[in-house]
Amino acid sequence: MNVNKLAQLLEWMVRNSKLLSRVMLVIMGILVIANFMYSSDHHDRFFWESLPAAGAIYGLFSCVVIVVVSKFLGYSFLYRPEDYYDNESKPNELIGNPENRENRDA
Amino acid sequence: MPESVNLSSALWLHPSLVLILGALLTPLMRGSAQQIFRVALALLVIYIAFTIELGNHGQFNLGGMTIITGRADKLSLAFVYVFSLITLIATIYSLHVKDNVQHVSSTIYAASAIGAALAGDLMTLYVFWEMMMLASVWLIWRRASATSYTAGYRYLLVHAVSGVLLLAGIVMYFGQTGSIAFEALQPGNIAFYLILIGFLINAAVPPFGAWLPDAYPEATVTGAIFLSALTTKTAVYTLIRGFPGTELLVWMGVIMALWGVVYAVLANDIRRLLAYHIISQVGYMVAGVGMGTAIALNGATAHAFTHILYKSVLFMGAGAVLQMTGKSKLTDLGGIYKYMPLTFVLYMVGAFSISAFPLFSGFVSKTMVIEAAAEDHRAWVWLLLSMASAGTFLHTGLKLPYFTFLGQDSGLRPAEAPWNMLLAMGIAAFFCIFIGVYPAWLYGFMPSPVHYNAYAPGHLFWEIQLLLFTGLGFFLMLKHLGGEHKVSVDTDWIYRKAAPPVVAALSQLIKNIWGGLLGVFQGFLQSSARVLRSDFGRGGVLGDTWGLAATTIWIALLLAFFGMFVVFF
Repeated sequence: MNVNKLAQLLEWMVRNSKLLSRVMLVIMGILVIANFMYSSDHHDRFFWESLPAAGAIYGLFSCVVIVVVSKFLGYSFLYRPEDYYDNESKPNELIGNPENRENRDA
Repeated sequence: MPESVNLSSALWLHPSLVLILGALLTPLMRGSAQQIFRVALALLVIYIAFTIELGNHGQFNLGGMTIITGRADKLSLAFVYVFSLITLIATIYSLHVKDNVQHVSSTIYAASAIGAALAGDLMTLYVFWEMMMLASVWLIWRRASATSYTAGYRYLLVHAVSGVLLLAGIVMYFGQTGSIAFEALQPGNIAFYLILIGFLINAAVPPFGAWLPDAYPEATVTGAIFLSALTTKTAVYTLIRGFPGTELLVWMGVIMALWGVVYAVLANDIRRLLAYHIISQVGYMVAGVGMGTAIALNGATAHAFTHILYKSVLFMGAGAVLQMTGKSKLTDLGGIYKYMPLTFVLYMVGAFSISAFPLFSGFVSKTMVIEAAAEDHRAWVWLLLSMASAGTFLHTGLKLPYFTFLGQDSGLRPAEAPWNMLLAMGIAAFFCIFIGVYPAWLYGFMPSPVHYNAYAPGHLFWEIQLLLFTGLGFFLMLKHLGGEHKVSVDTDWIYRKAAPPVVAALSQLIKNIWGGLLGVFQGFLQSSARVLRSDFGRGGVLGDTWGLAATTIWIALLLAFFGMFVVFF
């Protein structure tokens, strides 16, 4: 595919992100409803496998738990300022001129 | 095992040997000749790898030990295949680089990973294990930033510890069993745990895993692809081989999967975020090894295979962004999708694969590990691994691309990545989709026959809902998910922050004690010298010269005593 065409397509998607997100929500709704009509047959192992919409609920739940727990851990224990370790504040600052280094062997 | 050396089995074309020889020839060439040579070498190794016949090759005796340089069974070959594939992909990705040190070290690094996977005995494994460490550290150092030097040294030291533990374990194991064959090890002795910890360090299992997110983000753009593919997955292979069904590993794997997710939430540097997701993904493999059933080991192997490919796409995408913009922090990036559309789309293929979207490679391998947990009725393992799976999509599939390529415009106007980087990403992305659409190709390489259908309706419903509603959660919490100008401390805090003052204090203490001891000793010497001087020195009883009279009297007395002695005895 032409790169410019691809860029244009992506730009169109970003411009219409409201519309696309609504379409996505409708698809998700249909998926959950479909799950009610066609539920899984694996219920011999865990009870939630045959529960309709269990994946949806668990997905949303997981997302919230992960973000809340991680941010809590971050703010109360793990976060430090960027210059906490020596040099760490400028990770991409190179020693010398990278151009010269790349051409060293050429 | 046959006692005598069979010459035909001792001589075989070891792919590592070919790679090492090729690596040594690389610096003799330059320009496009060198580029063609490197690609041809990688293609040759793929050909050799895919034509290795099952069985033991290159077997000989050395001082009572049976050395097997080429144990080719389904398990080892699966890893050799994917290692050879990634060597080609990463070589193409690094074609524009003009740095012979990196070319030589990355090729030797790949050779040692392949050699370790083919090693049929612990001695050969150890040799390749150490070679891997020594070759790979150059891929970090050659970035030549202030942080890469220190991170590289830390990487080297941690892996040196892993190597020493492994060697100590091997020596003890040989002492106990008289064999160095690399098979599943018997639990319950020290050798078992020494070797296990050696492997766990390289697999980056917490609390031994902090070296990975410390070192990989500091590596060169192209070197990180080799790093992300080889070291941890070689360790996964050795765990599958040596420690299947070790119950402890189930929970280590689950903790690992979530550990990586938590730190990825906190990460700001895109390559560090991806590095933490290596830890998270390797967690699935480690948990699979711990469960040890046929489907679990298949799942661990399959997931290692797909992981190498999709993780390389992700690291290549992040590397391309770093290469073209010079920036790697979420807080500095944003809105560059218009300028790097191909990089963005290819990155998303990797992102959908790692998130286990149906029709992408992660789906057919990750769900196999989760299915193994279901078959064992391990409810908590199943739930927590599913949660980690949601976290993977949240960060690698949503947060990273949103704040890097979309989101607020950072004002950066980079050019699209060079053709060779895009080609390498394209090849790896092709495999991601190919395996997702046609999993039978992958399943054919697995150690035991695969009776698992990833595309069962139950799986599909669960997985699609899980991922899409995770996405919903992401957009609801979008404001709180951007990068923050912070670093988060991992267990490397122990040797980066806590240990230096302790070591300094210890060294001061030892210095003081030593100084004290020296002082006491010096005092003793001085007082001895003083006593000696007072007796033997000038003016001392024994040291001074005597007058003639005193001498005559003493001699007379001595002669008298001697005379009495002669007369009476």
